[in-house]
Amino acid sequence: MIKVNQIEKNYGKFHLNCTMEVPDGCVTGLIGENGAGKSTVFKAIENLIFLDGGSIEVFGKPHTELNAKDREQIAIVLSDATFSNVYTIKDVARIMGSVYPDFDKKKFMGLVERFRLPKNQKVKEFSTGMKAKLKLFLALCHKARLLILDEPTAGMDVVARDEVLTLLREYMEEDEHRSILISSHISGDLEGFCDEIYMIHEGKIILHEDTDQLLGTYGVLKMTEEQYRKIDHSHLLRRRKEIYGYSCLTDEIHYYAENYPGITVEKGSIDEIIMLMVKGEAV
Amino acid sequence: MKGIRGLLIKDLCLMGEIRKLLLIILFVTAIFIFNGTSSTFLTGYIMIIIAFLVGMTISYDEMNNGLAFLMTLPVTRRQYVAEKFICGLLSLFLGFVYTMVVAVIQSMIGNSAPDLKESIMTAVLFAVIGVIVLSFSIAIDLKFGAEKGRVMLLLGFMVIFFLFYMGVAFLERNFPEKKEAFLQWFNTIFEGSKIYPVCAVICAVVLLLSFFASCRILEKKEF
Repeated sequence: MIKVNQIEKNYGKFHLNCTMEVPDGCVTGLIGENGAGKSTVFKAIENLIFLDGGSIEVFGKPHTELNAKDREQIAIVLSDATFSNVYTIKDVARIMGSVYPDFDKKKFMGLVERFRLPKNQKVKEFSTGMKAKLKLFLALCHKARLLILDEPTAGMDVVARDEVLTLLREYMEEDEHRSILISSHISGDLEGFCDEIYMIHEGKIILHEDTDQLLGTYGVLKMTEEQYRKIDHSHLLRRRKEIYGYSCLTDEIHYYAENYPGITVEKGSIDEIIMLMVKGEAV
Repeated sequence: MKGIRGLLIKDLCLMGEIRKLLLIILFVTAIFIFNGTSSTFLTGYIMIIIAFLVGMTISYDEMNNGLAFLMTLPVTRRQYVAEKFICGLLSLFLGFVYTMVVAVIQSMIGNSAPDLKESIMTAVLFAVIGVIVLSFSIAIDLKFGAEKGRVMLLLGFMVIFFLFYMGVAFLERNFPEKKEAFLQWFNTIFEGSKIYPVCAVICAVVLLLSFFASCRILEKKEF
């Protein structure tokens, strides 16, 4: 669905160099700390910034050559942009209905009512969470094949986030060829939702893995310095010096659990994996 | 065309926001009609205010980083620019009709026969100025942003008028006969039957230049 091939973009000291792919029928997550380059990747795919190198294909075409029909098949939520906040929901529905031939106004108004968004109030009077919901509902209501969602759950409380992720799951179930590229700083959202995850740090992809694999075989080993010296290092990805010795990231948690019963083996959450990938040093 | 229609509807939805400005125009019109101010001044006032309306819609588009969002819709950057010109020209046309109606009302209140020929000529001249203001404002607002653009536009027009004035003063001081010839030429091209084709050519040239410049500005813009 999307192929990002060695794209480059320079902003002063920041240098983006990234390769990734969003397969047909998959939910692909992009995670990383603030300023890692997530939004730059999204903006590059959406042709909002110009590349210094590399190429991007969407639906098998260069992303700069998509026609109106192709663009109708893409729904985009930008983390920091939406319609001007002087509009009401009714205005926004009218505009979307005139821009997208497949805009499902009934479904949109249904979501607005279900999540109790005020229809006649200007968007500038909405809370951050309400604005985030509105952006997402607009994206979900024109039968797009590809959703590109940059921080779609930002500002939502835990209940709203859960409801929204359920909506996204339902959206994927409606058509097996739909794909989603999503970023979120709340890694818990992505753990239970994405099929695969890319991790970006300082403009570079530092990890790409199936989510099942990431949660099943990746883990954190905690050990003393002596234990660290003795164990097999071949499946250690990163290490970090701790007061007690070392914590290490591995992609073969079962191997160490079976062969080194003396060390502490913990299944890693995505947050812990990010921390060790970013803060740890290569082994 | 669907994209342009959608953008026009978007700008139409802003009418609620600019209704204060429209009410001011109505209010000023009423005052000018009843105190007998010349229709030329009123026509100029209305057409210039209307020419700035598109700049206001760009300013609303920029809120919330909205221009970036609009560029993700199935609308090309060229279509966005085209819509702004269509919106501006439609507004100027409505302003033209409005000033005509006001001129007729004004002459009726003044118990004089409406001089439609002169009213149309005045409105056409101000419509041309409106088209020039519109063309410059779209390009400048897209280049510098609506807020900064407005200041740049005013400065730009001040510079143009200053240069025009200085040019005429220079001719007067050094080549008085050429100044007379120039002013005569200037008067003849805006006189009689020539006025409409001259205005049409000026509008077409300014609109085309501004359209292509605006497209280039937006196509090179990053969000």
